Amino acid sequence: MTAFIARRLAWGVLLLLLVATLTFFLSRVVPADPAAFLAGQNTSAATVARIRAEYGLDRPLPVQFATYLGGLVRLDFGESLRTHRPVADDLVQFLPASLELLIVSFMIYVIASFWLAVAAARRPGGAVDTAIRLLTMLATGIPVFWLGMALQFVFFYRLHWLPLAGRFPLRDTPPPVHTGFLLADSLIAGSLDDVWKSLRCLAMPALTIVLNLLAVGTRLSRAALIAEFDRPYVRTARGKGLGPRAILYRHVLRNALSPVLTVTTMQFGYMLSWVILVEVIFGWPGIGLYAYQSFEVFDYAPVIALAIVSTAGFVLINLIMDLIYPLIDPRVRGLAT
Amino acid sequence: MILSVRDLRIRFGHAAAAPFAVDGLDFDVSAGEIFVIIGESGSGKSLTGLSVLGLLPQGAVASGSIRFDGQELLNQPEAVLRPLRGGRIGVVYQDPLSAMNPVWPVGEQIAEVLRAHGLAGRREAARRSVELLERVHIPDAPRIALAYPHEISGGMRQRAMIAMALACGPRMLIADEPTTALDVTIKAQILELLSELRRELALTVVLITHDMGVVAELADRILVMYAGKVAELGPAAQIMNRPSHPYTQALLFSATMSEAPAKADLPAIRGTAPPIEARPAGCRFHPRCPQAAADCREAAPNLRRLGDVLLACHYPLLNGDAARPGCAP
Repeated sequence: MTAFIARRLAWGVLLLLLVATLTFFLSRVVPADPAAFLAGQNTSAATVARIRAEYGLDRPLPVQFATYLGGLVRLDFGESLRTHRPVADDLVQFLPASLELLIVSFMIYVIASFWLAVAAARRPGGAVDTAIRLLTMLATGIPVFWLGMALQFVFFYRLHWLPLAGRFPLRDTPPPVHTGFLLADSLIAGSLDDVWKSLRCLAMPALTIVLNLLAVGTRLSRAALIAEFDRPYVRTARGKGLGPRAILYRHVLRNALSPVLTVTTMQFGYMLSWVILVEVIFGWPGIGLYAYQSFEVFDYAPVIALAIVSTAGFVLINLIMDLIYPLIDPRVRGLAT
Repeated sequence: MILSVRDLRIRFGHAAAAPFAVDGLDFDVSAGEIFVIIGESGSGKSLTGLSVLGLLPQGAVASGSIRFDGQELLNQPEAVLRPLRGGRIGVVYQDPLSAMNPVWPVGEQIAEVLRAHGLAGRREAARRSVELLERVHIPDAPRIALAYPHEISGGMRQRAMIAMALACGPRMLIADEPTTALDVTIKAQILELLSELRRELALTVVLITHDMGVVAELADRILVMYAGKVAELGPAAQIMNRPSHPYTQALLFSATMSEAPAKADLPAIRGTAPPIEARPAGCRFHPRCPQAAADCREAAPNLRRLGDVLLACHYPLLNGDAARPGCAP
C-alpha cells in the first residue's frame, strides 16, 4: 500500500513538473511585455530595461526557467509584479478562501446529487425522475457567469436575501484569523452570528458551482443505482425478506458507490475551474480572483502558481479516491498494492 | 399439500395479445418431498418458482392461485410476502457469485436474514451464521463467515447460499438451477446436501432444473414443462424409467448422451424450443416430436391421467419405448 501511494505521488510530481513547464512557456509565448506594462505609459526605455533586469526578465528563457524550477522546489513561486509580495505568501492568504468555497460546494454537490439520484431511481421515467431531469438539465444548461449574475439579480437586487459579493459583510469585523477558513474561525471565536454571516456570503457562489454540475452528477448516480437494482443479488435480498429501505441502503448503495466515486473525482476537476470563474463573479477573495487580477496586468507568476496548486489538488483528490475504492468494494482490495 | 398451484398464468404486460410464458399450470407439492420442475430454457420453470414468493421480474403479470399451507401467495402485497421470504420459504439461485452481494462478508449476509426476521440480535445472528455454515458442511466456518463471496470457491458459495436460505428454519426450499453454474463433482455434493437436509430437517424442496442428470437420484416427483405447459407429471421412478411423453424421453436421452459423447451423432431433440411469441398451433411440441401425427398439428392435447402419471400427449409412449428414442411409430 505504501509502495502504491509512493508511486502515485511520484506520478503526481511528474505531472506537476509538466504543468509548471507548460504554463511557464505559455506565459512567455504571449507577446506582451510585463516590464513595459509595469513601468506604465510615458516611461523611458531605460526604466523599462531596469525593471526587466530587476525581475530577471532580460535573461535567456532557459535560465529563467531553471531559476523558476529551482524556486519551486523550495515552494518559492516567484514574486508578484502586482502585489510586490512573494506569490507563496499571497497563496497562503488567498488559498483558504478558495478551499472553503470548494469544500462547501463539493459537500453540497455530493449530497444533493446523491439524494436526487435516489429519488429519481426509485421510479425511472416517473414524474419525480422527469422533474429532476428537467430541472438539473436546466441548471446545467445555463452558463456559469450568467447563472451567477441571475442569482445575484434575484437574491440580492430583488429579494435582498443575500449579500451581493465578498466573503464577509464589509461593515462587520471578521473573526480573528486562525485557520483562514471563515467558518472555522467563526466557530473558534464562538460566534454563531459570524458563522451565519459567512454562510450567507457563501450561499450564492456555492449554489452557482453546484447547480452547474448537478445534472451530470445526478444522471450518472441515477444510472449507477438503476443498474445495481437489476443485479441478481437484489433479487436475493428480496428473497431474504428484506424491505425496500434495507435493500437500498445496505445492498444497492454501496455497490453503486464505486462508479459514482469515479464521476465525482472528475467533477472535482471541473469544480476547480468553476471556482475561478465564480470567484470573479462574486468578488470572492480566493486564489482564482487573485490569479485573474494578476493575469489582467500580465503578472504571470500567480497564474502559473494557480495552475500548479490546482493540479496538485486534483492529484491529491485522485489519490484519496483511489484509497477509498478498496474500502467500498472488497474485490479491489489488494489490487492497489 | 404444502404448496398448491392452480391455473398459474404468467406473461409480460397486460396486453390481451401478450403470450403466456407460463400457461395454465396446476400442480401440488406434498410436505417433505423433493419436487422437481424440469424443462428447457423458456419453458417457464424459473418464472413458476419465482412467482411463489412474488419475485417475478418487473413487468411480469401473474394470475391464478398459489397456496402455501393454505395461504394465498399470488399477487399478495409485499407486507404479506416479506415474512415468508427467507422465513418459511427459502430460495437458492443459479449463480451464487452474482446472487451474493459482493461487498458484504458471507456470514454477514446470512446473519442479515435472521435480523431481518427479528429472530436474533447482531451478535447472536453472527454466531448463528457460523453454525449455519457448519450445518451445510463448510469447513473452517468461522473463517469463511468473514470471507467475501469472491474469496471462496463456487461450491462453498452455493453451500453458503443454502445456509442463507435455511437461516430461519423454513419449511420449504425453492432451488432454482442450484447446480447449473457448478462443475460435476461439486454438483453431486450440492445435490447430496439438499437430499440430506430434506431428510434431517423434513424440508420440502422444489428443485428447478433443465438437467435430467440432476434429477435421477433425488426426485420424488417430477413435473416436465414444455413451452409454459405441463408435458408430464408423476412419480420420479416411473417418469425416469418409463417416460410416457416423447419430450420426457428426449430429455432423458440427452442426459445420457451428455455422459456418453460417443453417441453424439444421434440428435436427442430436433430443433430448439419455440420462442414464446412463435409457439405452434396444436401440441406445442409437435414440430420437434418424432411421433407427431396429423391431429398433433391441429389440436392441443388435454392433460389426462395415465396410471400415476398426468400427461399431455395424443400418442403416449408405451412401456419400453424409452430404450429406443427417436423412433417414429
